Amino acid sequence: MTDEFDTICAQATAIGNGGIAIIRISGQKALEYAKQIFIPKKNKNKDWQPRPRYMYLGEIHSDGELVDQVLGVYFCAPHSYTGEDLVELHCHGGIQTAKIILACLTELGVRPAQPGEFTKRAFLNGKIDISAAEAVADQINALSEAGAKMAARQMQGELAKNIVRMQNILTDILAEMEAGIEYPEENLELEIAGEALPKLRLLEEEISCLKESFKRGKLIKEGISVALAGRPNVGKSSLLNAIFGEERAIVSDIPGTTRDVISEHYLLHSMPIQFLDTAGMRQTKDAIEKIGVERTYRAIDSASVVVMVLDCSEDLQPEDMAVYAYAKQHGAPIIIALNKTDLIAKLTVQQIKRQFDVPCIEITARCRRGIDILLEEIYRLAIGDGGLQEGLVITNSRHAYALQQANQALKDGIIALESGIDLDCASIDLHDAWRYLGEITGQTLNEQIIDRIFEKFCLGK
Amino acid sequence: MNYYNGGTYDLIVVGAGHAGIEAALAGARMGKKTLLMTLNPDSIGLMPCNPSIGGTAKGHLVREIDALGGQMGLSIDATFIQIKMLNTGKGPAVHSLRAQADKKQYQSFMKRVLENTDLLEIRMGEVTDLWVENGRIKGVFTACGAKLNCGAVILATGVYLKSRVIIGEFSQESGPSGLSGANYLSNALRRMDITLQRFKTGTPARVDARSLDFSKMIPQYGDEKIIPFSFLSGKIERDQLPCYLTYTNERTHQIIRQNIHRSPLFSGQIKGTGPRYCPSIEDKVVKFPDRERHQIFIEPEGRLTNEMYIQGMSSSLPEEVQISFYRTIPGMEHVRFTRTAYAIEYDCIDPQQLKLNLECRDIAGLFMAGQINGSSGYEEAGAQGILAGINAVRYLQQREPIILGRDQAYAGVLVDDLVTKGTREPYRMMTSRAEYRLLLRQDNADIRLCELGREIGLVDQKRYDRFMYKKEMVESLKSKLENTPAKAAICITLTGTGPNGPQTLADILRRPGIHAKEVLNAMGERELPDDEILDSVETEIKYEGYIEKQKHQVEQFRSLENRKLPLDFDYTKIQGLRIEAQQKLQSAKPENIGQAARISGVSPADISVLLIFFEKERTMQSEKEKK
Repeated sequence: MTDEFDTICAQATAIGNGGIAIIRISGQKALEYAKQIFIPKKNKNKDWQPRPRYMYLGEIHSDGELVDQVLGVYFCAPHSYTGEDLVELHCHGGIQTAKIILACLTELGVRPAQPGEFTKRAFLNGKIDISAAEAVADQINALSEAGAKMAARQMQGELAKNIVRMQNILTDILAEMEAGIEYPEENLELEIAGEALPKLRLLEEEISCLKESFKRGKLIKEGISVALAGRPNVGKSSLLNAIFGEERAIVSDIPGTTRDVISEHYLLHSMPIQFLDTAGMRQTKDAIEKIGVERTYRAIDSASVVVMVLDCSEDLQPEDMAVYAYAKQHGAPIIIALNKTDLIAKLTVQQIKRQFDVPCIEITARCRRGIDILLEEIYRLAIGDGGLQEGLVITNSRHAYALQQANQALKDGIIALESGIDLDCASIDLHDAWRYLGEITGQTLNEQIIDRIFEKFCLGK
Repeated sequence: MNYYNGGTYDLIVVGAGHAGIEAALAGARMGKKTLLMTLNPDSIGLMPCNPSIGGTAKGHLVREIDALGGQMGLSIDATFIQIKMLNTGKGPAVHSLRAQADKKQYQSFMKRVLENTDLLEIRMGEVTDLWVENGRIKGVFTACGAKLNCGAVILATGVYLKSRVIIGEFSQESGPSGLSGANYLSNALRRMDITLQRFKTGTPARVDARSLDFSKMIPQYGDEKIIPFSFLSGKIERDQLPCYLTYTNERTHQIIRQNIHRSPLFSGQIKGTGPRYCPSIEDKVVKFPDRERHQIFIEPEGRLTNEMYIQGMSSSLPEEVQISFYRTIPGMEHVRFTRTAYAIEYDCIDPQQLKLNLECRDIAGLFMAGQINGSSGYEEAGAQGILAGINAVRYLQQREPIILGRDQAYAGVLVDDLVTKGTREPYRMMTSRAEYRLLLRQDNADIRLCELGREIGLVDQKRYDRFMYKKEMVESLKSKLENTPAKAAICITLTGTGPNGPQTLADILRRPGIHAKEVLNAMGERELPDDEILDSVETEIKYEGYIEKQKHQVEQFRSLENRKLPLDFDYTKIQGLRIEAQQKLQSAKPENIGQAARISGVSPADISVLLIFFEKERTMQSEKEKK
């Protein structure tokens, strides 16, 4: 299976806080995919065709909800960076929005690009000049041996062993299916319900688990992300300042001052912790703040831990319950930080524990009281009691993507078999699953080395 | 030796088996003066092994040969004694036709077709050597001293090259069925630096029907409703003969085990490599000791003979051992052999020395088809034959070769597998070798290939009209079903429930258990199209999702396949290509990137290096042009 010319997407600007983030979609179906999430402001007609190289204002919607207001540009092949059809979406900065848009695209079937893949395509389509091409060729000449060795080393690893084992299970089942097809008079019919399906379901579960471990793997690579949630003016920004010991966030008494998500890094036990400060959660008519509130929800969605900040000098409000309910529903572990314990308390730890079934830490952000305990608790909740060393963990996003695809193909195959569809059709899904696993073990046609070179030399995206 | 001038031809085909026949017919039908050389005109179209044509994947090949304008489908339709669509309980991709042949009738039918083809001559004689000048074929030499001039040669020598028949401790130089072998050509090929390998295959005994007790066996009948191979054959009604099923038992296996030391395979007397998918009965007993019994099919060799073929019992054990274990089988207690089972060893080439047009890489105008390329099976041979014939003519016409892709035809998969990967055992077609088999169905072989056949000049007007009619019927019926909303009444009639939101007739057809015929009946259509058309439409609609999936895969496949590589390129020039890859590419000379990637020993990394290298070349070229 080759993924050389399918449609890919990635953030083209540096990850982090900038005014604008640019997302690139490249490939034959770039426009088709972009149009599924981008609604131009001036033209809501479905058959709308953008003029190449013109910028359009529009909105990105996901599941009917507004994600962001963005600018979109369409570049028609071959007049684009990659030489393919290409769409750029310019969204608001901060990592959350871009992440959400990318997630929308992936869900539609756009593949997340490998580092350097855009440049690789640009090169293969003759968009890079001779000197750059020369350099690239030299790199490849120098590195293909080294890369092969590196791949070989990885292949001896635990992950490869496991994937090969999974492939073997699939191979067995496929072989049995095929034997029945090739030799109809031998009555070799594979027992689907009794034999193949249980094995496939087990395999699907296993791949699913492995795929999920990417979250843990990501934690190791990218650190813990913590969403700070709570009503306006309960002291979320002050808490951040207490952690970092400097005036990072704007602190004021005017509720709703924080409108954008601010990311900070803090190192605890060599693990980077990133904080996503969110706008206060409250119903509002202010359009910009409304987007801010949306972002709070999105931040909670993608956080490994949610810290819900409460002001102990105020009673619980409906908004608090809403935040709690939202976070609970989305499955991230929650810690309640009971702030302003220097003031007269209307809320106590006991009360909160009765109300919510989550850990509660008393802090006073203004004088850094309770902060270390809070951080330790965040760490404990994110990593889990078992620590980091447990089990097989996926860290490479290419592997994660392949596993996700394999998992999906396997699911399709299982559904097909359950619904009694013909074996020759169901086998298409199972073959797909196998091929995706093969992308991890290198047993299918794929340009791993060329990918690695561009990955290593980060020649742009 | 002084050779006399035996005449001049455009094309000479050596061998009149299933490959040679299709090759020669293609050559003559495309307007080239063609000579078909055979060791014996009585063995034209001989089926030395099973009396059947088709089967899984092989049936697809027959239909592809037919769609391209070949002969095999028409000839078997005219002469079969039983026909059956296999795998009907499974999906549309693997439905396959198989016919029991009347061997003699098939042969005489084929011979008559050849004899009555314009521009085609048949001549008896053994070709002993090739005449090559400056890397280009000029003609052939025969054992009787003729020197025949020609522009292109197709070798379709089957299992006859240095063939040796082995039965237990006995062996002799001989072709199949007591026919003489060809003993000189191997050496000629070796002299031209063509690498040969030695393969082995085998066939079971033929027995006298009068010595069998069919009441102890289970009769196997053909389909009541006959579906022919050829898209041209139309409706066929014919009395069919049954086959019979019986089984081996522990006693059979015991005798085999007791005598296994006398098998030339196990004693090492046979050196050739045999096919895994067609094992001898002793192979099965040794490799699967837990199996209590093996299936045995008794198949008639024809209408006018008492000889029966014992499928599943091929063996190279000594004759006396064979007779005694054959006699352990229910219904065969008193069996009398007419022909003893034997193994046969023969020379064939390593097909990696060919180009995708089946032409020898180092000798222009020399083509090879069939078992000489390491394949086995009549259908595999026929498919290569027609392609070699077509490409030999294209060579003579100095036109681009015709190469079928893996996404176009089983015949394309067959040739690509042989040429790109080579084979270390006799190669048999299987549906699982085709990556896109839902697209390569037997029901749409004409849709896939007829247009091409027309372009090449093999598909005549009659066939083309028939194809256009079917194509239009399929398309119009499909679009009708897709665009007609399903009325509530029709919905209820067909599914028992009312419509579930707006639905088309196609949506209804997609539901399990509903067939196109029922939908059309419910619509009140009076005249239904042929079943052939209904089946195609039903498949296209019912399996649309999977068909789309495969089409998407084909798109990706094509992106590498369409990147051509220069044939005369020196791969040792590319620095950074691993030495193994350099050697593999150097000897294989792939024709495109996709093919290069399928060569064993060439890694994805090497493919990256290739891509980069050739892109660089291309960029440099265009820079130069700008200046």
